[in-house]
Amino acid sequence: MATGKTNSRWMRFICDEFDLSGDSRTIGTMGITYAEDDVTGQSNGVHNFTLGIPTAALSGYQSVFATDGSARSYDALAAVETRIVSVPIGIKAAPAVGDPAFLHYADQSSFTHDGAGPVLITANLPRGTDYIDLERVWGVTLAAGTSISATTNYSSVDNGASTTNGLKAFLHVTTTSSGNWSLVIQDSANDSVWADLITFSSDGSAITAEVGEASGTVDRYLRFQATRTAGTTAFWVTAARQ
Amino acid sequence: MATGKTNSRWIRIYVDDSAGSARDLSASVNSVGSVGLTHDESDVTAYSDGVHNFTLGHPQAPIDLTGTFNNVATTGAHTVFSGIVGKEVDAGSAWTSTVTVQIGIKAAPASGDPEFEGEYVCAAYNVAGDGTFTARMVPASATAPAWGTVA
Repeated sequence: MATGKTNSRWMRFICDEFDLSGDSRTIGTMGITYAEDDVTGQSNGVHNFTLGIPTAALSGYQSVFATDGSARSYDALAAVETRIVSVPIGIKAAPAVGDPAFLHYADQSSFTHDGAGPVLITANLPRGTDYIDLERVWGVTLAAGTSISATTNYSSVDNGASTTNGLKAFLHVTTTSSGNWSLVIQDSANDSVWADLITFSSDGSAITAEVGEASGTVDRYLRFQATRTAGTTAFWVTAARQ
Repeated sequence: MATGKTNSRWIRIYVDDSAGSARDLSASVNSVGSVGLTHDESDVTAYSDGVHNFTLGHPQAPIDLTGTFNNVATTGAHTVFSGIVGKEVDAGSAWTSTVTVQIGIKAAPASGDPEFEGEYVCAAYNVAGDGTFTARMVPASATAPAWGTVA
C-alpha cells in the first residue's frame, strides 16, 4: 500500500455495478460533517460544542455524457435512485488493495445535462435513507477492480489494531463472464489464521452491488477472498470499520 | 527567540490523533484559516450614547484547516482526520484533540515563538475531487484556547 500525497486522477468512481471512472471528470466533495450544537454556559471561557447528527454526502459529481445502452454514465445515472458508491483513492497510481476509500449509501437527488462544451452530467448524492447505519465513511480498498479467473486471496490490510464496532462493506461486481464465486471478507488477528466475517450473497454471476455488514469485534487484519467455481469476474470491494 | 514579521511558510500545525498522540500535519496542511478568538459583540447602545458601543460576549475559536490529501502513516492528514472526525468519547470518557498552531518567525518555530492551543473536536472532514481536503475543528472545552509560546 503506497502512502503520501496523490492526484485526483487516481480517484475512481464506482456506482452500483458500474465503474464510471472512464467517464468521470470530478467527484466534487465527499465526506461527513457533524452538526455543531453550541453548549456554551455563561461561565465558560469560549463557545464550545458537542457534535450532533452528521451529514454524509457526495456533491458536485460530474462526468462526460456517454452511453452504450447499459453501462456508461448516462445509462447508470439517468434514473435518480438509491446508489451504492465507492470512491477508492489511489496514491500516485491506480487504486490498490489498502488504499483509502470513501463509502457512501446515497439517494441520488439530481441528474442534469450541461450542454455547453462537452456535454456533462452533474449529480448530487446525499445520504440515503439509512437502512444501513454507515457513520464511518472513510475506509479501505480490499479489491481494486482487476478481472480474475482463479481463486484469489487478496492482499491483507493491516489496521494496526482490532476494533469493536463492526464493519460495513460494499461489493461491486462490474464485469463478469459465466461467473460463479463464493465471495467473503475475512479477518485475522495475526495475518495468517483467517475467519469469515462477511459472506456476500452475490455469486458473481451477474453485475451487481451489495452491502455487507458485520457487528462486534473486527480483528486487526482484513482481506477479501474470491473462491472460483467458474468464470472471469471483476470485483471492487471497499470496507469501513465503524 | 526571533521577533518581527514572518511568513506563513513558518506555520506548523499539530493535532492529536485518535490515540491522543500529537501529530505534525504541516506536510499536509496549507491553510489554517483564521486562528484566534473572536468575541460576540453585544450592542449596548442607549439613546443618549454618542456612538454604538459594545460589550464582549463569549469568543468563538473554530479552526478550519485545508490542504492536500495525504495518507502517510501517522502524520498524513487523512490518517489523522478520518480517525477523529465525530469522535467525542474514548473508553467512556469525554475526549478532545489538542490542536496547536505554532508561528515561527522567519524560521521553523522555536522556543518562545507564538503559538495558539486548545482542546477541540473534529466536526467535519471532507475531500474534494481536486485532491484537497477540509477539516473543521471546534472547541469542545469550557476553557478557551489561548495564545502562548512554544516551549
